[in-house]
Amino acid sequence: MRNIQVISIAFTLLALFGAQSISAQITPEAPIQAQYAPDEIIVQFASSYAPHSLQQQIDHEKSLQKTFSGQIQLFLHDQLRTLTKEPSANDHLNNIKTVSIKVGALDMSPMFDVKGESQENTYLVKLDGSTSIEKAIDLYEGLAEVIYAQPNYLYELYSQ
Amino acid sequence: MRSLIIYMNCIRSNYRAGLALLLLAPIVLFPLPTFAQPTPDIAPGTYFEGEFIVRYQENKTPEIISDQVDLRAQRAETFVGRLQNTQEDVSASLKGEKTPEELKSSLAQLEETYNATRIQQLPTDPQMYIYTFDGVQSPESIQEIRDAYQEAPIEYIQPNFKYYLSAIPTDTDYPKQWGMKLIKAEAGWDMAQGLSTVKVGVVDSGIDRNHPDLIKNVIKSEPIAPGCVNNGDSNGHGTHIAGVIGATTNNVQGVAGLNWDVSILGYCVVSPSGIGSSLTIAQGIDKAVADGVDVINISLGGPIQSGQDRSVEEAIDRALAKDITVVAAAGNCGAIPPGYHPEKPECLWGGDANKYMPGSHLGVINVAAIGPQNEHPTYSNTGSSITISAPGGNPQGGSATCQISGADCIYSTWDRYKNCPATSSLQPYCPVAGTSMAAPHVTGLIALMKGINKGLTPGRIMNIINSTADDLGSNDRDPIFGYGRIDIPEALQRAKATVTSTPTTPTPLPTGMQCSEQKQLGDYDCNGIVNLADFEAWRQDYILGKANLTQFEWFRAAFTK
Repeated sequence: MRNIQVISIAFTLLALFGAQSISAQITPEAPIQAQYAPDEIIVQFASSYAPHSLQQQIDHEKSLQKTFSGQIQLFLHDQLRTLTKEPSANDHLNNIKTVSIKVGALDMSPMFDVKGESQENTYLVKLDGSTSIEKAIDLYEGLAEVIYAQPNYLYELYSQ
Repeated sequence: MRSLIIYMNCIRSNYRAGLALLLLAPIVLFPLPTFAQPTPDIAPGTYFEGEFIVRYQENKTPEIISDQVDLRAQRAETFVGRLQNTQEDVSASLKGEKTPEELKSSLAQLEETYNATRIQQLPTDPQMYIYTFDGVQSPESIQEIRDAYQEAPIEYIQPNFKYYLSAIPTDTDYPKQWGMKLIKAEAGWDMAQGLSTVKVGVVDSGIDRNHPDLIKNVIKSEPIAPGCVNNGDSNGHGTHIAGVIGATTNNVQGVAGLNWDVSILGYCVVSPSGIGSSLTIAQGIDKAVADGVDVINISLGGPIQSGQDRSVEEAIDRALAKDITVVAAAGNCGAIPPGYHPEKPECLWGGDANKYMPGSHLGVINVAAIGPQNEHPTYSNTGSSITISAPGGNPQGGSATCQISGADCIYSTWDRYKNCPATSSLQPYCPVAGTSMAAPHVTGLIALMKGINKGLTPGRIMNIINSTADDLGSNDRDPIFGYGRIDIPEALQRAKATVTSTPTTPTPLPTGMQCSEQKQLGDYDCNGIVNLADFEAWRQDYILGKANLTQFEWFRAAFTK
């Protein structure tokens, strides 16, 4: 629950700063033929790039800023990041938030309560219906942080 | 005490080598459990009328007595012989025994009084005879005969009781379960009837956990999808599946389950309309994995091709990685052409089994349905992904409506608060058809196999089921029936064959064994040698109720070698 709150606060902040434009040059996929739950998609993030993991990293960095030794540590980290041109946890989270705002995500939370890497990093994303499922999947799959995005397919009992 | 006297008498009266007798002595003592026990009342109808089993004391069978009488008659012709006869008479009267002549006439009199015909001396046990007594039918007259025969030199007399093949369940609706006969469940039940330590996950519409025919074997039903309730069924379907796998059997009500003992865990992943989603299915599978089930049954699916629904496929792979076998139904769109049908959107790919999830996922046992005559029902999907066939029913003319008798469908438990589709009324049992019903027959078999051999992996299980199947359709594997119809006894036999067998001879005893293990192999006092001392120690304990008859079998094996 806390994660979701943090994420939604971050969304608001992001809106204030203005979203970076995403160059989504992915060819639109063919319409999905099988039935799926409307306005829901499933997104699996790469290990340690799921929103809750990124938020944990950001929180950790914030706590480091409170001490002098922590500040030095952070400074060195930043230098290293500039050299390797590696985005920070904040950058990753912003990427995810940008797409989430674009597709009209209302809520995203891990879909399993069972522990385990692939389970923890798989999220159910609820959409407001302003974007098609196909488009939303395309946009999420365009992110480096995402392993896959898929519709929440429907299954039926197999009695005659 | 009585048997001890018999034992002593035998030693005295026997003219054969004493040593041989000593070794045979334990067998003489065999009817230990019969003495000093009050005989319970005999219920009418539990025995074959007029038939009795009589076991005579050793060397006191009618044959031997008759021989002795002849011998003594021969001896009586000489002086020495007469002396021998007199000596025997004196010895007998001192011990309060009857002479052979007296015994012979009393036996003859008993047989005459009760109109008895000696029909057979058992070849396996020369002391045991089967008699018919004309006109002896009521339990009272049985008691009369038993009392009269206490005079005779017998160990016991008893009616010839009726025994039924244990494998035919007493459940009243069992005759409707033609599917059980088709897969030879009865022969299977002679080998295994399930174990409550085996856990089966049913990822379905939940289970009516408190159904009287399920409460024994269903541990829980967990709600996951909207509209699900704790320990309840959102549709009725899951309760039907649970009944095939493990309805209470031999309780003189309802249906029989493939597993008489088993622990079923339900996960309700579909809403009351019968529809679930990737989210709920994957969650259900994950919860079953977390609960440590041995096998998961998934009697549902959708027109989703391999690679499209990674959330569900990864959940299945996590189950397989934990050596949990996954069984799925192949789908019911066989009679529908591919394409979008507004009234049947779930049949997008027609009857192509390879385009439906989760049945087509690699490593899943994909089950097709067969009808009462082993025929392929038109609804059952076909394709190279079909693994195996099991009973699923075949309503007439390809309709979806079952006969109420269950003659063309699978008869099983139904949620008590949902209408049975065949009758549109509330009833705790219901006939239903579909590949949904075929899958739990396979799941039930896997649970039985796991009870025999817990170490079987999903790959091994699939191999055993496929290689023991009764081939249907074209040779070996085909897209309609897969490898054919499951064969319960054959598969169980194979599952058993991989269990490390216990040694079958009592000697030599391996070193470093536990005393309890040594006891089972005949070394009852755990000194490393199997001898009469062991038997005596066992006998004392048996009288006190501390030892079992299985152990006795080891002595018998050791002493009769």
